[in-house]
Amino acid sequence: MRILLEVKDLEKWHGPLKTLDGVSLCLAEGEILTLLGPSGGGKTTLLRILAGLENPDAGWVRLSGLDLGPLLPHQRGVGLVFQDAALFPHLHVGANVAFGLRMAGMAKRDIRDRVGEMLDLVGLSGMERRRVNGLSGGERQRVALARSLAPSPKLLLLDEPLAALDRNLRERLARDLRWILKKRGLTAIFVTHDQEEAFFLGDRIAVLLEGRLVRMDTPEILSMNPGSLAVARFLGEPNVFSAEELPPVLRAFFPDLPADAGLLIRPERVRLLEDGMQGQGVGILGTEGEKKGEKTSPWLWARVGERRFFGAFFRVDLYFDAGFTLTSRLPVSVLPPEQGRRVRVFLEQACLLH
Amino acid sequence: MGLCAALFLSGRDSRFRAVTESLFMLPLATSAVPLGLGFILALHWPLDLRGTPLLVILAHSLVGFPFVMRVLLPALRSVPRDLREAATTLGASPWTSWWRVELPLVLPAVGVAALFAFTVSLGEFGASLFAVRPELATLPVSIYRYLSHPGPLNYAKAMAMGVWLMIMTAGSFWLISRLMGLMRAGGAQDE
Repeated sequence: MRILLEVKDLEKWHGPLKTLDGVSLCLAEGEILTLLGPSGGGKTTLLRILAGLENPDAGWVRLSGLDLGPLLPHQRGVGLVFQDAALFPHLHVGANVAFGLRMAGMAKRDIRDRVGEMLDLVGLSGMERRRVNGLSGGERQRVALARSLAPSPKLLLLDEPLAALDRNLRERLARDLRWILKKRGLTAIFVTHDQEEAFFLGDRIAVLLEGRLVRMDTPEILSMNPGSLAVARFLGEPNVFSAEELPPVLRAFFPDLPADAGLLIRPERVRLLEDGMQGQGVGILGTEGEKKGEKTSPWLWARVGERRFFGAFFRVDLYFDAGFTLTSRLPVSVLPPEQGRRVRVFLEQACLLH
Repeated sequence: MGLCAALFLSGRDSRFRAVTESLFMLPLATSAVPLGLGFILALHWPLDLRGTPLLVILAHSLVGFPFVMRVLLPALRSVPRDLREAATTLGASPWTSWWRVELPLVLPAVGVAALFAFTVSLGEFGASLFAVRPELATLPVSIYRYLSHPGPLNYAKAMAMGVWLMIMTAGSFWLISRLMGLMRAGGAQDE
């Protein structure tokens, strides 16, 4: 695979605040990267630097081997889709899509064909003459996408294009978006603070926390092992403990846990066995990668706390006698034990965090 | 001229802007009479502009200037930054993006500003009185002249001019209100 985009040691200060702190990444041709992070994490700044709308204070960006530093935004061949679509209100849909083509000096007839093709692609065939103001939020983003795709940019940047839409529409548009990008073989960077979106859309996910690129990996690996405490917490994992926070009872299971490490117990790996029920809990206890072999794992007594139904699963809080709480995720196929019941808890697997 | 100044101002930020902005509003604060007098005093060297129609134009521009600014500044600032940036990422140079995107969006405001300047200039009297030459006068000045030479014919001429003045002013205000409506509608559709 050919490397399309190289970013090295980018730094950016906004007044006394360092918004980007040594960000480096590489992107292969045709790859979709999602930039995930909380607001204020520097995602948008990174995108604006790539588009040339802001200049970095240090570091460089290369696109197909070409240094982008001295190039102005309109010379870069980098497309950008804005959160609020930023359609030109004085032009109708067709003219909006044609804008980039006109700038490139394409012939009139070619422009008309290309605009038609682009609108077909985003599912808005025949809407060339429609007014921009009369469009719905989803349609606006589709037009914005068509407008950015029309001049065939080498790299497409998307700045939370789905954030302003309601849930159903967002899911559908996200699916269409991935399909369109893949069909065109486009290299794209998609900024979002929504995890589901990031995991669904990206071939790889880059997590930006406080201006630092803390993790970059495929969605599967990232979700299996967040790697660090900060990432695990940002991803909203419920059972995350640093070494000091780890209750002594649990600590006993991990005698070789380093002092600066942390532990993630995945909620779907917490198994319950109601008191009085016969059965053997079989679990693998140990950190990922160094499984200690199957054996009858030790169990702990806990009381069932709040149960919440999420449609596809139950979330159950477990209060342990030792004075800490874990969250367990149970399939809907089995009715979870009632609140207040005493249960035996088996921990099947835990992830080591650094 | 007002457009240029407003463009200049819309680009800057912070304290500097506040100062220049009020500086540009100064013509409104002084009476028009010293303004006209000042022009005559100031512009005899190195270029003697006294008595040329250019002087009238200059004086009127200065008087109309604050109004133009007041109309254009908010209009220019209300164009979202996103639109300009979107245009540049689509390959438009800064100049093209201004010409293709920003100007069409502020066009109604430019129209309003121009009409404002026109109306102010129509009714301008103080500065014109100093600036005009005998054979070439603005409407209010000639009305004043005819009125100051008594006689039924002159009186009638003055009245006729007064009617003209009223019609033109009313007409431009009608146009202004139409354009204001357009501005509020969020700009006209192109093509």
